[in-house]
Amino acid sequence: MSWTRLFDSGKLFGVSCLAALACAQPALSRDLTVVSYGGVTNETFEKVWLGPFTEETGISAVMDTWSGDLAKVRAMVESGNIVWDVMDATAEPIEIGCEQGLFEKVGDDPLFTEAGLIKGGLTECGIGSMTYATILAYKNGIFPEGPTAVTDIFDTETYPGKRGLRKSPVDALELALIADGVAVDDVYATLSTPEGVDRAFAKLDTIKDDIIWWEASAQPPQLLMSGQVVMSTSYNARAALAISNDNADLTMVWANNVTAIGFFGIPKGTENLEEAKKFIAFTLLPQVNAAFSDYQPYGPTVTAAGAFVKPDVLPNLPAGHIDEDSLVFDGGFWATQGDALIARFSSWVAQ
Amino acid sequence: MSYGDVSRDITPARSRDLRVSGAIRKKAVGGAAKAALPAAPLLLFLLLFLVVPLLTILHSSVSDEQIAATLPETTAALQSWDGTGVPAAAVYGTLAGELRAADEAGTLRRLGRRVQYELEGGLGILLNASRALPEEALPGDAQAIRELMVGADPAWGKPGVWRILQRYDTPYSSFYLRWALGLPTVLDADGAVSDGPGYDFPTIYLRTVLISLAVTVLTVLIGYPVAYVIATSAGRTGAILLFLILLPFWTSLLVRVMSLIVVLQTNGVVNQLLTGMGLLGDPLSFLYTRPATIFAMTQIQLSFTVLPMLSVMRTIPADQLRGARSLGAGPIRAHATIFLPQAVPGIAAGSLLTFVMCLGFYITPELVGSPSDQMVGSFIAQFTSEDLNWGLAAALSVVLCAGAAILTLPLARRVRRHA
Repeated sequence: MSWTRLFDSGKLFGVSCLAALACAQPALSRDLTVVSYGGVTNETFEKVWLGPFTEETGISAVMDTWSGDLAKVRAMVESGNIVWDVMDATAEPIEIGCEQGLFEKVGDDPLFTEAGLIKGGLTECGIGSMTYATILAYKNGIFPEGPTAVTDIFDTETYPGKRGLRKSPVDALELALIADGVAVDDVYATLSTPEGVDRAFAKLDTIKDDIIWWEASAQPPQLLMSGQVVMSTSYNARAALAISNDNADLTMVWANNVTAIGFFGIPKGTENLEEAKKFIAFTLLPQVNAAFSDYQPYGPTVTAAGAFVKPDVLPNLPAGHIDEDSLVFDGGFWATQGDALIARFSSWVAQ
Repeated sequence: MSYGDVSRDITPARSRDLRVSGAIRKKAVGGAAKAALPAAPLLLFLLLFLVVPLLTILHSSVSDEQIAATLPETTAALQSWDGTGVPAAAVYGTLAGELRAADEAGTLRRLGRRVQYELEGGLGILLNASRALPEEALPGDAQAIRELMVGADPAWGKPGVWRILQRYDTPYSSFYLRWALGLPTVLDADGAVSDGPGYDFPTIYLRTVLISLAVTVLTVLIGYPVAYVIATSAGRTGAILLFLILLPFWTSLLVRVMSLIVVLQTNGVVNQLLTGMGLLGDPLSFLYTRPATIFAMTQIQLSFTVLPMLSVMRTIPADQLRGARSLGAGPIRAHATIFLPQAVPGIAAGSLLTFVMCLGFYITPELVGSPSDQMVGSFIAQFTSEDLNWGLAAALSVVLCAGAAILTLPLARRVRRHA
């Protein structure tokens, strides 16, 4: 009996291996497939970018969802069965994937160099898709006076209770150092030294038992609303939408926010390369670029788009909150040092 | 197949078959060719989807060809190095050429990740070396290359990285298995064993076994009375109870876990009930804890423990209990001396089934447990689909399978003896 059961656990693993490769389905001539993080973001993509793009060019396009890990892209590119054409991602998977040859190096294409992207909005493989910020959201009515900075997540004395943090070293290590007294401008220099990394993990250790980790960006508002946590880091738009659309009784804290640029990348070897480039170039048209913020407060990546952003959305966009206390996310840092930090983080978190 | 239909008109002989699912094997091996023929599709299926994947996993747990495949000449040249100091300058030249080729082929970073598994900062060390090399043709003078590399990263002037490269002139190694067993595997730049932070796999295995044991014990404690009542009650009560036991089988595991989250969360049904009745001042944070994990797994596994127990208990004649009572034994004594010993094979089969199934759980702990409640299955999934470290994932599976065999074999023998 035990042997049959044992074989089953082996089979389970075999099946999960197959599942990992399941994305490698045979591809016929496909529609242009754009991939983002799912939920509201995908809906907005369809409304403001995919729909108008199809109308304009006659190229039909569909959305798909991914969680941001490169494994699928790698399996896809290596097997030659590419089913995704445009990936919307945070900076670090695009940078890391670029160095591994997983994305097309299209950064020097005049379509993009002449689009008027903001500073840092164009890299070798990445074309700026939107700007976003990691902020802190807390539930009203729990503390007499709420947290005043994102780094207050480390202050368990003044603000006791469970807190949500993204299950990733990205942002967490930076915020830990700022909370530990490192100046915003020195964060990445400190994090480049072994002592700095130890210091960040030591700071995280102080609140480890109070953290509930989230992975999908839709989770923080849910965790807050269900009372699971009293405060949580969140992407600015998710929190803002929960407040405006779902009447969530939350407050957003911007001080010490981490501002970052999201990027489009094109998986290497896709048959829809030209369509993918056309699509990305389309999203960079100032009016189209700004339209995203009508639905979700993620900021434009083209300088000229600023003129088309609705005035009532402005306070919710990261651009208005970049000051001496906010950190500008460094995707290049994570591309070179990320592997070691991610490995250390995932073993630390499991202990 | 519905368990319920079978157990209704059960005969002692068939119940044995149910208990020992190895009966399939018995039939195939022990029976005549006539019996083997109908089983042929099954055997073929087992071969293709059980034996072959298992062997593949065993193979990938010892297959380790990344370094030798990317740096064939360097690893070959290092075989004559005595392991002290640093190798001759010519080796630096060879390595520079192969690093350049790897960079152009897009395999440099993957090589770096592999080296980093057992060398602190290994990825950075390789990337630094590659970036320090001039854009155009490499200098013909190996000594110049050596100076460039040592200048880019001092690790190139130390033995650590060279010792690791030296090991891998063959495509097979025990590295991943040693890693999965928690043996020290990481070196620092000087070549000394590093005690840097890493995965604590022995603790994770121990955690997996302890959680599985707790769930097994709980399902037996909860399931035994239920199975007894179903087995001994005639008519409607038994049927209804059996139906309740079978009900979860028809519900998706994910749905059941998700509904548990709704019930258990801080503002969930249980907490609202308890605080509403004034039994609790503040709601309990039960979700994302070890007890929540065990609770959820017990709920999922209960039927798997109950059904084998039930099938055995149904074969115990009720007359025997009545006989014991008529001879003067009290209800407890009659149960303990007559019923319980005969039910042992069922308990063993049920708990074995649950224990082994629990060892492989990963979705449930992921959804209702905290990161420190994750069982080895979560890590196998993580290394398979997120980190793409298939060597380690395979090695963890091999260790899990071997460990499960060692732990369950005594119990499995017991089941067979009683059958």
